[in-house]
Amino acid sequence: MLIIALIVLPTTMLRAKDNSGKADSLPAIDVAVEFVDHAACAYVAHDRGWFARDGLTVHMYDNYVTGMALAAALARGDIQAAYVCLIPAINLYANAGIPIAVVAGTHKHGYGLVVNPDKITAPQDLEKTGVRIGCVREGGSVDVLMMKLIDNYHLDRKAVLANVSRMSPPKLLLACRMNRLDAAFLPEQWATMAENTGFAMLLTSHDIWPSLQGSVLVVKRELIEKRPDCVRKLVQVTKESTRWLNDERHEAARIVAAHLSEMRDKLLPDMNNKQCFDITPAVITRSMSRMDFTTDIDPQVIDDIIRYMQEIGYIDSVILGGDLLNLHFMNDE
Amino acid sequence: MNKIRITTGIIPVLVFLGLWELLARTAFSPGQELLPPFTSVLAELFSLIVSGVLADSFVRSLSRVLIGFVTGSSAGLLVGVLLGWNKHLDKTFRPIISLLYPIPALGWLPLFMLWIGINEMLPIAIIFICSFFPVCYSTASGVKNVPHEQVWAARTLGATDIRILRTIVIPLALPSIFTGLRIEAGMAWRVVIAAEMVAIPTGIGALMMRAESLLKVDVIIVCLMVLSLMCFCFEKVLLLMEKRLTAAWLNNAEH
Amino acid sequence: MPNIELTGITNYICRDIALTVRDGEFLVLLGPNGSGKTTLLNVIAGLVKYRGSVTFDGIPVDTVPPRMRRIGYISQGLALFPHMTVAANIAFGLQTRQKDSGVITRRVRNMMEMVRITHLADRHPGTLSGGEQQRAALARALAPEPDVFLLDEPFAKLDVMITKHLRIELKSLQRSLGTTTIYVTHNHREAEELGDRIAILNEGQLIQAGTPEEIFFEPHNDDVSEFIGSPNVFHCDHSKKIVTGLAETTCGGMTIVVPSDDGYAIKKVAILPRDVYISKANPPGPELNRYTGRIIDIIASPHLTRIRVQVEGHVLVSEIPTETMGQLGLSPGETVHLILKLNRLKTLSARDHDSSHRVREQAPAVKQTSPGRHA
Repeated sequence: MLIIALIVLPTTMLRAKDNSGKADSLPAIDVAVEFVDHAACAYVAHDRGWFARDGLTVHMYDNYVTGMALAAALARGDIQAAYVCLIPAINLYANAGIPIAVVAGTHKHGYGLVVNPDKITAPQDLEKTGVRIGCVREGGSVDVLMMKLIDNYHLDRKAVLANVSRMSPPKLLLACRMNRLDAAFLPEQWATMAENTGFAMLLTSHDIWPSLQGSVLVVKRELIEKRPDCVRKLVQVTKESTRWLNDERHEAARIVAAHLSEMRDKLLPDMNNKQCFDITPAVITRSMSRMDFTTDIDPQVIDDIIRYMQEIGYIDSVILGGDLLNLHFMNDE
Repeated sequence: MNKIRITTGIIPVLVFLGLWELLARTAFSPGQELLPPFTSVLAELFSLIVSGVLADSFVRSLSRVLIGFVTGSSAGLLVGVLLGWNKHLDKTFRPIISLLYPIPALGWLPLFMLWIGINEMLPIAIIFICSFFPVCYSTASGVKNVPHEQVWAARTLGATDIRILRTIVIPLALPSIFTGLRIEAGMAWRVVIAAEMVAIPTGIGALMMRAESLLKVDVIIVCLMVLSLMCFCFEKVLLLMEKRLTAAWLNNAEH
Repeated sequence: MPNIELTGITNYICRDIALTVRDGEFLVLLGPNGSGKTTLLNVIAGLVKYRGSVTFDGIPVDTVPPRMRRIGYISQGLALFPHMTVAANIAFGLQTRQKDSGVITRRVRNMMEMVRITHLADRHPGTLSGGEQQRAALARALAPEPDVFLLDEPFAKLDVMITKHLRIELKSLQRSLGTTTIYVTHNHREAEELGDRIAILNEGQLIQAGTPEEIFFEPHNDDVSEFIGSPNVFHCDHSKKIVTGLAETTCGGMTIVVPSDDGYAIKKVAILPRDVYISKANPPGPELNRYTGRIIDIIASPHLTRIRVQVEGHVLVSEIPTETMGQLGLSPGETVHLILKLNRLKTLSARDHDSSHRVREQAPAVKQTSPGRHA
């Protein structure tokens, strides 16, 4: 009996070590995901099981309502990665000092200005007294886009800003629906959803800022230092997912629409009976057609965006795109 | 003695600031990136002053507070005197005031946003409400607590009701009135910040919200420091006014 | 200065009170707490509601507000305005009628000189002693030269020595000004010292009104008698002057030496039980007003004990603290020695008797009851 125990026990221990080693090799990653179709690649990857296939246990969190909440969660280590718009990520790094790195892109563009066509026909109309403009709070991507539009068309910044009411995209959409606004700067898919309320797209980010980067994948530098293998896998899955959704646009739209509808029911429970909040595959298809889904990032574009944000006083610290980017994993296969 | 008192008062503050600086600069816990060192906050304060942003925001908040506080307190004073002086008015209106008083000032915000809209009047109206009820209550209480013997003495000395109110009742009610004013002075600042955070695009509250969305924690802390300083200054000014008007007699009144 | 006539005064405390206060008189309203004396004062001042009629010199003042009744009023708490200086307090009543600040200033100075508080002009009432506050209250009430002066136990919170001096000063002031004055107190000694006449109230009713001598020697009922201390009263057959300031009276077999200027026709002699000294042994001292008697009975209560002693055909009552009674160890049937304290003896001469009877007030008939029961 003693001999059997001596043989069996070490074997068991080895196997356990082996198993546990496998289980320990890729710990769970908590990832924040935006409640928009900008994060299509993440939804697709999750739906098709690619994270799990590659040994990643990814917990997706979609309830970070404000940038500060996201910043706090990243700072505390509650989440280690996020699919988030580039401009808020720059704020996270430059203003809040969160040690993050952008390791991949997800798409370009995905923002627009929707207007009541009876009241607004040109950007210059935004300066007029009494015009009601909606936009997210300062530091959001569409807010920076709005500032860029003001500069491009040489509008009176003070006059336009005096007409702006700040609110979140769901509230902006509702305000459009109820005719409380004449114009709204919105991210996709909200901009496309606003078209169903009778508003029309006047300008997109293609028109205002042709090279604008949309969302990116950011990870905590600590994760890069301690678990580069996780980051590598994450980037690879993001690349694969992005390729797939470009090829299978309709199926991707169906997946994304299903995810977003489910999230809408959780995050906006009192909105799901309002028609304007329907997130259908058709809406997502149209919305996604306004974005260029690619993981490529142009560091020069990042520099331009940072410089512009410094110009308008949104960031004070002197940083370069290179400080924020870590594209090594992009080059790994 | 004063020097010792000032010194002993400052030391804990300096220790607190020193600890803050130290903790912010050492890696002691996750999430501390969101705590900028005190010196960074000071640098941001200086930068905001030089750029004029802080002054502009401050003046806007200050004007709202002053208008709302002065009008609300004045109305509260007037109504409080009437309720404290006249039993019939008190019986008639006290139930209504008792119903409305417990509603926190910010509770009126959604309703006022609909009734007044989002404009300069909104924060002023909230501050008016915030100031009116407590000052009304403390005034009415102060007027009622003036010993009736004083009023009777004044009557027998030939004074009319107006003169009695002006020269006897209101001066004797001042300690109670000032208590209400001092409490609400600080509250007015808290309320204006909250109203600006929610609805108004200018002022210290709006600056804080802008800083929050831009993740500028140092600016948020600067705004909180300004808020704290203003609450302190207002309360101190009112305390000095009260001392000036009542110190000569109040301490010995219970002789 | 007006005659004040109260007729049928009734309110939450007063019950159908009728009273006349003569021009220039110092009337004391005397009674226990809750008897209605302060309320009656406030009725005269117009400060409380009432049914009935108040007239000043025959003119009804029921609809006249207090500020127009020309009264000077001092309440129990004095009610000096704590936020004003003494000078400002005194000036307050003058500012209603007088616009000339020079006149006001002079009058204020005069009043302060009169009550000797000139050095306190810039002080606030809270920094003054009790006596100083009294003087300030007096000056304030008198400054506007009121026709009627109403005082509600103004000395109640002061110590005995200060009160004594202030009473003398008040009486002297009132005499010199001739202002009709009504003074409220629950202390019958104070009432006797100050009042030209005393009106005794109990449970909202006027029990008796008359001169101090009338009240002392001819209380209308047991309540009054008990309130003023239930004095021993002796009817005198004969009196004669023995030396200046002293007279000898013969009262039913007892010889009593009393303080008297002329010893003229002393009708009655009275002394309060607490001023009758009692002991087992004959104490040393002059042989004046000393008597021997036998204890009839002893009536003990928690604080005071009354001892009834038979002395030559009279029953004298002596009153001592109950704890002293325990030390003396007296019992009925025992022989004891009594001394009537000379300076506590009161006399009623034929002159006093006649004049007091001419002005006796018509008080409503009240049954002789003990305190606490309705009439």
